[in-house]
This record gives sequence, structure tokens and C-alpha cells, in this order.
Amino acid sequence: MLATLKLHKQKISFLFLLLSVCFGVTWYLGQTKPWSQIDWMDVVGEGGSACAMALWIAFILGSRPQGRVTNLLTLGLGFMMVAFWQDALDEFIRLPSHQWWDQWLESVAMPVGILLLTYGLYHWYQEQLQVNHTLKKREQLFRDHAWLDRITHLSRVDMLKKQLRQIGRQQEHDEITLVMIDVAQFSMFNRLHGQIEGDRLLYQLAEFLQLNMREQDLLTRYAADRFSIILPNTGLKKAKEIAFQLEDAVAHFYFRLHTSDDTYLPRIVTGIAGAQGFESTCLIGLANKDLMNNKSSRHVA
Amino acid sequence: MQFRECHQAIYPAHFQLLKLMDLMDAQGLHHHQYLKGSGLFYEDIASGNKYISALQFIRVIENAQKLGEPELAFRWGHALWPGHYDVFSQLLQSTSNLSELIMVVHDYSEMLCPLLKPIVINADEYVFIYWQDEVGVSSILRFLVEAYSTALLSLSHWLNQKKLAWRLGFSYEPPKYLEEYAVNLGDNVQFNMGVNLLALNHHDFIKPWTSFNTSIAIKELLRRQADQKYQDIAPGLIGQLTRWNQQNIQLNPSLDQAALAFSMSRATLKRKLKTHGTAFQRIQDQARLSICLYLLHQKKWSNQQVASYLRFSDANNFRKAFKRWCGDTPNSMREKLAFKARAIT
Repeated sequence: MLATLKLHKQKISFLFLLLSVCFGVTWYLGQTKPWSQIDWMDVVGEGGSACAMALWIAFILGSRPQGRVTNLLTLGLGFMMVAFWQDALDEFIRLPSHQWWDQWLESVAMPVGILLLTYGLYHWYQEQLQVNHTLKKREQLFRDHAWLDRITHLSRVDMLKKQLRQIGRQQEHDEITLVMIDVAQFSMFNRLHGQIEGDRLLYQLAEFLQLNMREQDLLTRYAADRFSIILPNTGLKKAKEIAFQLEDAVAHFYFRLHTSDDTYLPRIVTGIAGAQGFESTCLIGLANKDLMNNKSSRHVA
Repeated sequence: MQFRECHQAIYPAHFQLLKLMDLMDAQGLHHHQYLKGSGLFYEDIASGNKYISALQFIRVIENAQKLGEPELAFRWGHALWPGHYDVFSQLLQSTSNLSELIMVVHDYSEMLCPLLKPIVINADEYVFIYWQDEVGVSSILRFLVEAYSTALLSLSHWLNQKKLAWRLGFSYEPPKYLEEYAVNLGDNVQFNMGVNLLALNHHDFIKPWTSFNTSIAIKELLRRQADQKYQDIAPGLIGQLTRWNQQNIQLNPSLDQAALAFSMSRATLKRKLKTHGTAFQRIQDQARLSICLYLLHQKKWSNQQVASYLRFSDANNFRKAFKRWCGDTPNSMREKLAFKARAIT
């Protein structure tokens, strides 16, 4: 929770200092209003906005590394917050009218803040484009952090089902193939080397499979040690070829153990099912069945 | 009648609970979150001499259910056995076939599968193993059944070097994450069965493991050591009351008779059952249901026969009661117990 906050100690202290200075000066120069004159609607509106700004700043600083984008966003929100804060203070404390700086602070800090925030958001947008580019293979232009699997950083089975439904709706006549992948002897590996190593193996295999896939294919973690790949616009013949290539590639993948100086050579088994204008769940079932058949014919537990 | 209540601290926290905590740590959860409300501290558990009660265990698992991923129960299950539970783990590893393995788990269930007990029923074609609630675990029953079923399949797979043809039935509705069931427990899975059970054919049950080499003498020695460590542990109140109900099922015993048998007043028994999160009627229904399933499926009795055995006035009344216990008719349960293979995905 808010893990990166401690990277930004300076920014946070500076903001606090600014707010305290505003409060101190206003308190020193002004006169507190009697209760009857306080407009509570304004207090709630302006004070609430100041609190919301503080919360936004906390979210940004709590989730982002140091850098230009973070600085700009924080600065923008910080200025806006100071403006709201000063507004809220005015509701309690009346300043003499010749104190020009108070007005200035309220009406200038806000646009400056908004400008900085806009500039920051523009850079954030550029940054996001970069990130999307890096993640493109994993996401197919869709992201919801609740759908990501912790161990492999792939999307989960809900995503697989959603994608199958979507493809089924959009392209009813195109061929689509689903490949199911099991890690052979995975439970044995877990017993010999422990679950932490098992998780690492799954993660590295996921990365390795990504590297050996085409751009348009989508890899998800189905459950436990089973993965699935959607191959859009792909016939059975081509899918079999791709599945064989994946098996062959993994057969040459040396997993470096952390527990010893050895390597482990994982193997995968695949199952395939293809359809046109299909029902998603039946495609999953068929691919699983094919996988089970391949497993028993090769005597892989 | 000897029994143990849910607030008595008998479970070594560094056995199964610590394994679960390790998995939750790996998921990025913090122990403040998952130990909340249990009164336990991380340091105590890691110290290796802390004992916890059923209530504390249940509380942590409730938190795990709320915070963790659905796969947590299955991952825990894979890691549970043989485990590092002192002589009890050695006993597990010294078994020579599945029948012996289940005996060990049954005899030392509080050390190997806390809160539940595996009960074995030998039938003609299959051996049935069902999970008996020992201390009132309704809120976390699904989690435990997922974990312990996975543990049993996983360990037998390892010792046997080959997967066995298990069939599984669960008392609850099919959960959203059926994929976990398919990959971890196989395709032969059914829901809404009224009880939680595993079934396996006789042959596989007594077939020797591919590699076992523990001598009878060593096994005896391990048993003696285990018995010594286990002697102060009485069975859980809910399990005992269920078994008592099963033994006296034809007498249709009342709460008063139960209180007498457990040497306490009616009000005290009622109160104790409430702290265990259950009630006498519920326990009795569960006991009757398990007997019914056995008679219908194994003895091939008709509804009329079972009805008169259980002192129902007629078959119609029996059908109604049966439906109240498990949400399904006796005839359809007969079908389900025959486990007509049906793939789930």
C-alpha cells in the first residue's frame, strides 16, 4: 500500500511547509470570524476539494517512481491544493482588504496548477504509450489490474473467456484455435524443489512462451500449471505446427535452479481445439480433452 | 463421552498454519491482514512452540478466503503432505498403500488435517472417503475440503508415481473458479451432493505404492511414538455428536438424550453448539443424510425401506425431509453417487 511514498519525502515536506506558512500568515494578519458568519457550504466545498487534492497526490506519490512526470503531476495538484486551502481558510479568518496576496494566491495558484497538471498529464500520456507498447503482447489493448495473475503476470482465465466471447461475436466465420499447455511432471518438480522454485519456473516459462509466440496470439494462465493460447484466424494445421514449435522450443529451455547449481529441463504437453462460430466454453473443454489424451498417450503424469 | 471444544489450543501453529502463511506472504499479503481478529502474532507462530485453537485456525482461514486468490486452497493442499509434522509426517511417508495412508490420516487427523476427519466406507465397487466436520467449520468448509482433497490426490500421485482415477463429490454449489477443480482435482467432479467425498475403486485402494520399503517394525515404532504424542487430544464435539447420532439413528434421539449422553444440561449443550456455529437439528440432519446415502447407494434399498428404517411415517415424508437436508431427491442422489463420468471445464 502506497509503497513508493518514502521516495518522495522532500515533496511531501515541502507541501506541508507551504500549507503551514499559508495558515500561519493568514492567522497572524487576519481576524477570526464569529460562528454565525461562517458559510458552511463553502467550507465543505473548498475544504473537501483540498482534501481530495491531498488524496490524489498520495495516490500518485504512492504508486510512481521519481521523475519528471511525477514532479509535474505533484506540482500541478499541489498548486491547486494550496488555492483550495487558502479559500477554505478565508471562510474562517477574514483578512484586511489591502492584503492583496491572499486574492492573488487564490486566483493565480489555481490556473497555474491546472496548467502544470495538464502538461504533466500530456507527458504521462506519452509514457503510457511507451508502456502499452512494451506490454502489447500481453494485453491486446485491454487492461484491468484485477485480471492479472500474480505469479506469471499474465491475464487469467476470465480474460480468456471474455476474449473468446468477443472474437465469437465479431468474426463469426473466421477460424479460431485454442491451445492448452500443461507443464509435464510439474507436481514432482514442486515436491523436489519447493513451491517458490515452482512459481519461478511458471513465471519464466510464461516469459519464454511469450517470446516464442506470434504478435496476435494471446497467452493466459488457465489454472495451476496450465496455460492457454488463443490463435485468432488460424486453422488447425497451422495451430498444430505452432504447438509443436512451442514444445520444441521449451525442450531447449534450461531453467536455472536457485536451490542448487543445476539446471532443469522442463517439458510441455499441448492440446488443441479449433472452431468456427463456436461457443467459448466448448472450445476450452475440447482443448482440455485433447490435452488429456496427449498426456495419457505419452504417459506424462 | 470424551470430547474437545473449539477454544482449546491443541494445534501446533508451525504445522499447517505456517505453510498457509508462507503462501499468503508469497501472494504479497501482510500478516497484519490475515492474522486480524485471531489474537495471534507472527513472531509467536514462527517461534515453533505456539499452540492454537480451532477458533483461531478458522479465523485465519476466513481471512485467507477473503483476501487470497481462489488458487490459495489448492496451493496449500499441494504443500500439506507429507509436510514437516514431526512423527506424523514420518508415518505418512512410511505407508505402503492408500488404505494405510488414509488410516494414518484418520487416526491422527487433528495433526494431519486439522478440523476435519476422513471417514472411510468400504463398498462393493468403490471405497468412499468423506470429510467429517469435527468442530463446526461451516464458514470455511469449502476451503478445507478443497485443500485436503488436493493434499490426498497430490500425495497419492507422488507415492504412486501415477495419477489414480479419483471421483469427487462436494456438498456445495459449483464455485466460479471451476478451472482450478479441473486442473487440480481432475474432471470427475460433482457438486450439490450433500456430503464431501472422494471415491476410488478397491483395486487402486490396496495396490502397493511403486516404491515403499519401511519395515513393519519401524511402522510399529512410529505408531507408538505418534500415539504418545496424540494421547491428550480428544475428538471434536461436533464430530462426536455426529457419530453418536449415527449410532442411535433409529431411535431418533432428542437434544435431551444427547445432553445426557455427553453429561451436561440441555441448556449447556445448546450453548456449546451455538459457540461452534451450529445447532443440534443441523448435526442430526447431516448424520441422517450420510446414513441415507449409504443405504440408498450401497445397500440398494428402496426409498420405502430407508423411510421405515429411519422411522418415517411414509416414503413421501422421507422424500420431503431428504430434500430439505441436501436440496435434491433420493432418486437423483442415487444417480449422482453412481458418478456417471462428466467432464467439467
